[in-house]
Amino acid sequence: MNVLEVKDLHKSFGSKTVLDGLTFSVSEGSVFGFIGRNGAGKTTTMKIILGLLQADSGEITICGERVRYGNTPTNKFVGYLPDVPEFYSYMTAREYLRLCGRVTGMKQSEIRLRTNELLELVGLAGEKHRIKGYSRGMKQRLGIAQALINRPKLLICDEPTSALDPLGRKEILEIISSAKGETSVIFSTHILSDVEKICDDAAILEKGRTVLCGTVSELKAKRSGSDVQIVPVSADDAQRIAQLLGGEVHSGTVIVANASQDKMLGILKTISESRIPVLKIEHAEPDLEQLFMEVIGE
Amino acid sequence: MNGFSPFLKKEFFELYRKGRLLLFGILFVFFGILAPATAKLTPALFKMMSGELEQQGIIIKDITSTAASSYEQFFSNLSIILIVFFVVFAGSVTSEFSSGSVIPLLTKGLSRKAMMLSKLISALITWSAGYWLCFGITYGYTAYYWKDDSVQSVIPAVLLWWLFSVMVICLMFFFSSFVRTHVQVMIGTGCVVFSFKLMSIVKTADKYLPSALTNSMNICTGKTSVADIIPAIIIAGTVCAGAGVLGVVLIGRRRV
Repeated sequence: MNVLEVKDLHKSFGSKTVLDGLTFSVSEGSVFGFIGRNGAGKTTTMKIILGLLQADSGEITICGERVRYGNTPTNKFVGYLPDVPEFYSYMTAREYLRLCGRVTGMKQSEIRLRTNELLELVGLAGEKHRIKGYSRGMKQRLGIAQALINRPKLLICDEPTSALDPLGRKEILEIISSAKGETSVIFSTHILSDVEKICDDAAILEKGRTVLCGTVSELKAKRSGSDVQIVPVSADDAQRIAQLLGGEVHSGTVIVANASQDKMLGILKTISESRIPVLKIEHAEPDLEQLFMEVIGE
Repeated sequence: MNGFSPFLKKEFFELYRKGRLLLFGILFVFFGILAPATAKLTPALFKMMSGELEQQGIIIKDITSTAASSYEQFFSNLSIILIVFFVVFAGSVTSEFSSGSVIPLLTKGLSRKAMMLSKLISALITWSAGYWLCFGITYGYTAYYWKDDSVQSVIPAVLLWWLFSVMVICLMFFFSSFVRTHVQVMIGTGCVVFSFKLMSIVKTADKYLPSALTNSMNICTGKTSVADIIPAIIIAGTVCAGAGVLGVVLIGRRRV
């Protein structure tokens, strides 16, 4: 069953078309990577899903209920982590989670229990200070806790790792992965290694529509091959290798683009038969970054 | 109206944590004492300075203060307190949107209407409580020190000034519902209030303008009766209701 379904979504700001028939779905219990470059329309899509912004046309359903703009009852199924979450800095994390629980209509005893659980999960259980002294990473962790307070069916994270250092990113990815058991996650990002680490499914957003959608392994398989790099012992041989293999020379390294496994074997055979000494031959595993570059035409 | 009660509690908690309740408590008590104190001390001050002033050729004869002097001081101080209150509260709504702090709560089901009403109600309660405390202090001291009949009807005058201040606060929230910054809120509200003052230059228009509600000493001393400014009272009440309703409608259409 799909927790979220987005069908033929259109949105323009003045003459600028941001979403142009966007369609995708998130299945129950999965972590969905929503990939796109900056300004591709990821945040706009998320705001429309949350009823904070009105779409020009299209339909969104969450757990089978249609999303409405303004007053949005489907938000009872949703937890939202904004890209740069802002909280009431004069509160402590516990006080803030209590406020969130009350707003969602939870019972007092349930709020207390859930607050303890979540502060433990995000590593803020021992934190007694007010939010104004929190680092960006701590705010992001509190952001996940507030998003999960009402046990949502869908957790929407808008670029949760973009502004963090490597350690902060690792922590956030671990927390999102651990939340996977109790909720589906849609996770927008332009950091493709994060998608490869934690996502089951992904979609690439370009020019306002999904240009590729599927499981992460399916997406990787869409790319027929990846680049082969050959470093000859003598830089003078680089041009000769490039001619033989149909590659290009960059700073003494020959690059043969988009090579399949068969082509790789052919390269090895050609080099061996030509008896050209080489220092290194590398055939990288296909990754999302290369696919993304291909798709957006860079 | 989802989330009204928790958000209202949050508003008062914010006022308490940020020290604004304490600030306004001190301010209202201070101005409550200041009015009768100034009225009481002015004659004594002039008496002390009379010798010095006489050398400069200024002869001061018997200066006496009355209950009217105390209330005159009270009403002139009210504008200062209202301006301070206005400056502190002008960013209450706009800062929630500009910082994005209300967004997580909106996505949890807090209705924008509930948010707007809790903000308006908490501001009105804080202002009204302080206002009547301030008046109560002035009233107590004035009744204790002066037994004269210079003031006939102070309560209607105080009620009318309160209505004027409520109108200003409602206008402030009306502008907050659609402008981006607290400076724009102050400019918008200031322009409306200033235009009332400007129009009151025309004598025939005065009784229709809410600014007539602040001619408090004329009402206190009986120069103007409340019946004379009923149109202004109705217009002020209508502005309060209209600004409140429009504010709630417009906040629903605000782009987040």
